[in-house]
Amino acid sequence: MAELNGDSPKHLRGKYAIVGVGETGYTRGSGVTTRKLGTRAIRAALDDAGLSASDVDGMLSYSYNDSTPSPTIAGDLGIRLNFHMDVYGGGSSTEALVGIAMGVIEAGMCDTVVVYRAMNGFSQVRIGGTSKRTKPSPLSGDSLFTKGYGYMSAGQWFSKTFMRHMYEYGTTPEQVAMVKVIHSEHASANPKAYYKDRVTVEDVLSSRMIVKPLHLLDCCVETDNGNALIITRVEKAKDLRQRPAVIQSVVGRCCKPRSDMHYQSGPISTVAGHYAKEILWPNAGLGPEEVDLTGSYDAFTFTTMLQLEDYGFCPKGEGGNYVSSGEMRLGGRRPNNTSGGHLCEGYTHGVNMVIENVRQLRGEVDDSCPIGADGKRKHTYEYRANGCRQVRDAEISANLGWGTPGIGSAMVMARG
Amino acid sequence: MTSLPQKPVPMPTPDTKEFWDGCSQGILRIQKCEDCSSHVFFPTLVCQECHSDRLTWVSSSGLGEIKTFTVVRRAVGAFAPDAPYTIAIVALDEGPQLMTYIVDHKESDVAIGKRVAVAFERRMDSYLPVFKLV
Repeated sequence: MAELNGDSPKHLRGKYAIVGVGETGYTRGSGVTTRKLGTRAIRAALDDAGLSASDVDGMLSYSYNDSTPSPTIAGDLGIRLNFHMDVYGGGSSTEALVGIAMGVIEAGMCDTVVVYRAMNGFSQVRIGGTSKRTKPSPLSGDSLFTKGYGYMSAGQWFSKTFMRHMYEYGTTPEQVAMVKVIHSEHASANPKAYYKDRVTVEDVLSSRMIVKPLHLLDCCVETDNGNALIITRVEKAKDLRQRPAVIQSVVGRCCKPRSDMHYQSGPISTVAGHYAKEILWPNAGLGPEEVDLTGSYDAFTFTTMLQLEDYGFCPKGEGGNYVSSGEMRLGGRRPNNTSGGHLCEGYTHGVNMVIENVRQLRGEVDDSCPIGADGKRKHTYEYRANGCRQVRDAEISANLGWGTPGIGSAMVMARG
Repeated sequence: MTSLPQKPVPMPTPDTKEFWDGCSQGILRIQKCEDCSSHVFFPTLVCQECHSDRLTWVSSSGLGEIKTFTVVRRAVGAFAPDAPYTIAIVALDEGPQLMTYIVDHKESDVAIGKRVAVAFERRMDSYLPVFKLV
């Protein structure tokens, strides 16, 4: 890892930015195809940035073969591509694809790249494994020891990591339930959120057990939605409509020593962020203490906690204290997932948490605060239901994407 | 009444045939490196410690301890009627760790650190290694 430090010419700190973001609503039953969701999200992102279709020549997407690929969507939008790629995968893809976008622009392969994710995650292919598409298949490779024993969903797959963390560090379900409580507070100020009601620790602990130690409310919501980001050079960003979110550092699909059977090597209670942080912080030229807000992936309450801990926002083993202290609440020292995240806003395999932080860094989060004569929102910084969710003076954000305990991606952005 | 989907069954490959044959004979087979003596699981092609390809099949003691576990209360597909069931990562005394079921137990008796021994559960024409508390 010696060459990956802040002086390395390999990093692209400050050279690229997210200049446009777009999203559809977060619903259960979109009633439209993923083709339409992707197209709508990208149109919204182009409008947000002040770009036209002819300004975009690169496209990246990811899916579990549950979406519409970029050649179709680019064609629908009248975008002629100099580069595109559709990759397989879920939650650790967002930041990884932003990194790939930077790389292909740097290589001269294209100029401006759209990253999108379009999914009918409730009405078609459900990540929780309850959709009709879940069929038995012959056991080969590592599925010998997963599907053969009834490991059919993400919650089942990750829970053994959560149980081991509780055993080693005394982490309690009450502490971790605070992730849901705090994200629900944030969602109560997000008109787009699928779940806007605030919940208590008692609500989480009394909801039905799905897979130990996960109660129903420890698990994210499944929704239908499309999300898009536009990445280009910082110099180009200066001429566009929005204040850019400048990318300081990115890590993509960084792994534990063995990513498929991650429990085979390295402590079971340690996740990929332990390794990713050795790239993320040196390349960003800063550390966790300088971060104003986080977007730690909340497929489950526990994933938020484990990542914040392994990326160094608190000492190893103290994640339970960190997430229950109030530090990551709006108004606290370092708010996490101010949109309500996957637990409350909607599930897009990570993109919506990046969109939220881009808007936070602009100072223009789309809460219910009044819009002034200049067209800008007048934030009150009163953090209550139907109130404000803008973080005051947000300058540095960190997104921590989760694939599995063994695979993670991350990105640091700064206000441009 | 609709019939339930069938549970997945092992499909041995040249890399895994020895392992599944062992299960059918009531033996938990793992691999051992002839060069550095490391034990290796699951069935693989080279030793992850020293990269030797001289791997030999040996019989595991079948004894180990629970490193972590979970209890599935809401299951899907063919496994739905089995819930609640306990799935665990067991560290064999030889070193390697594997995912498995813990069977024949009271839920309250299962804990991290408990000793377990291998048993074999029939599924169609195959046998899967499972573990019991000892």
